[in-house]
Amino acid sequence: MALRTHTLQGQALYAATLQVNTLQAQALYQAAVKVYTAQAQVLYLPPPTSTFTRTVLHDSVVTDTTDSSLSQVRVVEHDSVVSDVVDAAGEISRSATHDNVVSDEVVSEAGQFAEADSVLLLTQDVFGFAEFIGPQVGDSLNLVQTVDVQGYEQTSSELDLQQSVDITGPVPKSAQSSLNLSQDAEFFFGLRWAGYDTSHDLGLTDSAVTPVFLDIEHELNLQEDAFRAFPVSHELVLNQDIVAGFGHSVENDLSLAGVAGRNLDMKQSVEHTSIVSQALAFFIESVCSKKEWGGFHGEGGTPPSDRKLTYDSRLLFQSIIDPTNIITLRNPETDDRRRVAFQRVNRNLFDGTPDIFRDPDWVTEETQLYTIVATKRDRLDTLWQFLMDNLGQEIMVKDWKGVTWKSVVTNPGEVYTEDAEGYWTLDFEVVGSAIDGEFASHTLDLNETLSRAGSTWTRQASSTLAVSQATVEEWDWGRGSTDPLGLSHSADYTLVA
Amino acid sequence: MASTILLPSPELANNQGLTAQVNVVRMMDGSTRTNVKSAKGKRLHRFDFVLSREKMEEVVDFAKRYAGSTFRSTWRGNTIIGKVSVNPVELAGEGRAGGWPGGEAYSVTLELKET
Repeated sequence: MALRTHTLQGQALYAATLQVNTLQAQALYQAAVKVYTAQAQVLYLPPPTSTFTRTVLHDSVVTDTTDSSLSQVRVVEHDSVVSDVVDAAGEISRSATHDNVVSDEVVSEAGQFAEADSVLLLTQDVFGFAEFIGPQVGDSLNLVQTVDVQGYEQTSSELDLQQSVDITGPVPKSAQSSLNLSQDAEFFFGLRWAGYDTSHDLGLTDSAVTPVFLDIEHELNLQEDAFRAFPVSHELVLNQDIVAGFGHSVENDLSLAGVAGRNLDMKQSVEHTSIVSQALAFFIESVCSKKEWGGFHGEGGTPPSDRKLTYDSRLLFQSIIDPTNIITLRNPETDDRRRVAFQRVNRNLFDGTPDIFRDPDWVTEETQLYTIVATKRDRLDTLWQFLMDNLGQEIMVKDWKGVTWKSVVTNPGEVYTEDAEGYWTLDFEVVGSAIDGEFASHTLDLNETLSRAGSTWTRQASSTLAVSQATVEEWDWGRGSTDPLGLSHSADYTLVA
Repeated sequence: MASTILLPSPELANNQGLTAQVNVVRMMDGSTRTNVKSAKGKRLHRFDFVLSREKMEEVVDFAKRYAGSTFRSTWRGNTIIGKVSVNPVELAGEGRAGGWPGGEAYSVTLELKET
C-alpha cells in the first residue's frame, strides 16, 4: 500500500493505492473505509451473494503517478488509464453488468502562463457470449469532462468521442448507435474591459452505415471417399452459388435484321421482226448458295432435271445373215458420240478465201460410238460369239430411240474391261446409216415431217412452225412463266427438170 | 432453195480470229522476210452449242444436206456469211436432260469461215 498526500485549495487529501482481492475488499468494506484518490474513486461492490455464481473475480488496478514537487514546474501532466473488464461467462449467469464511473479532475493551481492539460482516456469493452440471439448487448459510455479555469487563462475544451458498434454474426435487423453529447461553456465572470470571447462550437458528425453485401458466394465442396476391397474412386463435388443483393433486371434485346436483296433485270425474250423471236431460258443463282452441280454442261440455261430417260427400245444387234441371231444389250451410257464426216474438196484461194465443194451424191459417213456398262459375263460370251459370226458384215443395230441402223462394227477387237465384280464395260464403234424413212419420235408439234435420212421430197414447200416453250426462273422462291415462241418459216423452191 | 435452222445461243467461250497467215523466212544474210496472206480480213468463227437430242437430229440432217453450201449466220445483229469448215461434225452426248425434247443433251462445235 502506498500513501501520498495532495493539497487541494489548502485542504489535505489522503490518497492510497491498494491491490486487493475480493476477500480483502470485503474486509475493507466491513471497516467502512472509503478511499479517495486524486484520480479515481473506487467503489467496492458487496460480494456476490448468489450461490449459483461459480466464481467472480474483480481486480481493479489503478496506477497513477504524479510528481509535482518542484515549484518551478508549471506543467502538470496527468494521465489516467482505467481499464476494467468484467467477464461473465458462467453457465448460469445470463447477464453481465459493468458500471465504471471515472471522474478525472486536474487542478492546476498556477499563476500566469500556466497550461493545464487533461486527457481522459476510457476504453470499455462489453463481450456477450449468449447461446441464443436474443439478449441485447448494451454499451453505454458516459463521459463528463469539465474544465474549470480560475483565472484569466484561455480555455479550450475539446471532447472527442467516437463510438462504434460492431456486430459480428448474422445480419441484425437494425443496428442503433446513439451518440449523445452535451457541451456547456460557461463564463462566470470577467472584466468588462478584458473583452473575453466565448466560443462554443459543438461539432457533431454522425453517420450510420449499413453495409449491404451485394454478392454472396457460397461454394460447397464435398468429397467423399468410398472403397471396397477393390479400389474405387468416388468424387462428389457440389457447387452452390448464392447471390443476394439489390439489383435491377436488365433486359437486352438484340434484334438483327439482315436484308439481302438484289434487283436484276434480265431480258426474257429477244425478238427480231425480220426473222424469229427466240426465248431465252435462264435461272437465277440463289443469293446465299453457290452454283449447284447438276450435271449440266456449260453455263447458264435452264438446268434439265436428272430424271430417268424414257427408252423406246433396248440396244439390239441383229444379224442379217441369220435374222434369228439377236443379242440384246443394255442401253449405252449418255456420253455416246455421233460423227458425221463428209467427202468434199477443201481448198483455199490465194487470198485465203475457203473454197469447199461437195457433191450431194458423195458419201457421208456416219459413225456412232457407244459405251455399255454392267454387262454380265454370260452376255459377254454371247456377244463375242455374235461378233465372230458377223465379223466385217453389216448388222442391224436398233438404238434406244427405236431407230434401226444398218451398220458395221469397226472395232470387234476392242478390249473390254471388268470394272466391277462380274460386270464388264463394252465399247462399240459402228459405221452406218439409218434406214430410209425412219424418224425418231419427238415432242415438238410440227406441221412438217422431219427426216434424218430422207430427201428433199419429204419437206413441204411451205410450213408454219410453232413452238411453245416454258421458261422457268429459279429464284429463291419458285415462280414460273411461259414464254411462247412463234416461228414462221417458208421455203419456196421449184424444180427444173 | 433456202432453209433455216434455229439453234440456241452458243455457249460462252465462242471465239473468232483472223484467217490471215504470216510466213516468216530468214534470208541468208540474216534479214527477215514475211510472206503474208491477208485473206482480206476474213475471220474464222467457232461456236459451241448444247442441243437437245431432237435438235441434234435436225442438225445432223441439216449438215448432211448442206455440207458444202454457203451459210448465213445471224446472231445478235451480226451477220456472218461463210462455209462450215469443221469436218467431221461430232455431236457428243452430255447426259440426261429431263424435259428437253428427246430427254438427252448433246454438244456440237461449228466453225464458220467467212467467204
